Amino acid sequence: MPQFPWPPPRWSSRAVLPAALVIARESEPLGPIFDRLREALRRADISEWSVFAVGGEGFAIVSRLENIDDDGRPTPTRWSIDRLSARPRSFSIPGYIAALFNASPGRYRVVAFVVTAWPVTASSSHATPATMENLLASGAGDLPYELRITPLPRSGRCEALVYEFFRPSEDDSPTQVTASRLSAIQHLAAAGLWHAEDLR
Amino acid sequence: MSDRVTLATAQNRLAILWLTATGAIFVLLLAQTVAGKYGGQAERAWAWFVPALVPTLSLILSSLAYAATKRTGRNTVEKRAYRISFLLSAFYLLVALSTLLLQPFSDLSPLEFLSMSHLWLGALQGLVGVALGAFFTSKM
Repeated sequence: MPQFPWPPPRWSSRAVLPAALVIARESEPLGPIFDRLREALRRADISEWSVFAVGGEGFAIVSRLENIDDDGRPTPTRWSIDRLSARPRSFSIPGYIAALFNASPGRYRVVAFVVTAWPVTASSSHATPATMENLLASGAGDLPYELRITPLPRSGRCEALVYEFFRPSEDDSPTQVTASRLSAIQHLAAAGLWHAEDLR
Repeated sequence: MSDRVTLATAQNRLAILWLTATGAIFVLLLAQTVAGKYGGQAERAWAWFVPALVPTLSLILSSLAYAATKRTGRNTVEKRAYRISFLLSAFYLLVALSTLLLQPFSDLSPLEFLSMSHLWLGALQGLVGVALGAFFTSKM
């Protein structure tokens, strides 16, 4: 089982999820916790993700890089991260004028859910879209049985780490947003993982 | 009807054409820069403008400046040669302006498209340079 990089790369925003949202009871096995997170990902139409072990008593799920708008909602070309995604599909004079003078910025997001009893502290390294995509490719597709039956230690919780990237124009490379304008809770709600009120 | 035109008239008309078109391209590029079209890489957009237009315009202006200090005679040039130079210049400048105007239709990014335009502008620029040389570097 591949291990989640520890400490994780520095995130843009973070939230500890409310206890009852994904962890039903103390010392619950990791399997049902994993299933609840997988259900939330399915609800948000995030079909591509990878799972990693965090030590021997925890796990982490990393979602695929998605294209989002300024409010954190997925764009119509959610999984298209190339620079053409912001281009209008039909011609109009106002659209042409806008394209002639304005940049086509891009905003992207990766969400990582970390279920662990360890204190989650960030490493000094920043994430890049490439490192997050490599991470996604190197993870497993499911939680192995041994981890599913492993109980979460008493101080265990689920933390959502949001990695946000911004590209000012088509010719710029996306760089990590170190302090997101949106809270992690807003990101999770905008992604469609949970309702905002469930996250408070 | 004469088939010749005075050199001064030909130079003036060519200079007006180049100044007007280059000015329009300059203003368009400036507006794009101010609007943030090129993000943090505006200098790369201006690095396209300078070699595409400034050398020829510099040649024209320096030649006119030199002529202003000299007493010029009534030198004439063939009208056909002048027309070819004028049309070639107009075509080159139209293509340069179109490069900026057509970029939104391209699948390439703005700077990739500008970079690729050297393929067609470079070829035309050589022809324009030769054609204009007869008017601006010949002995007046």
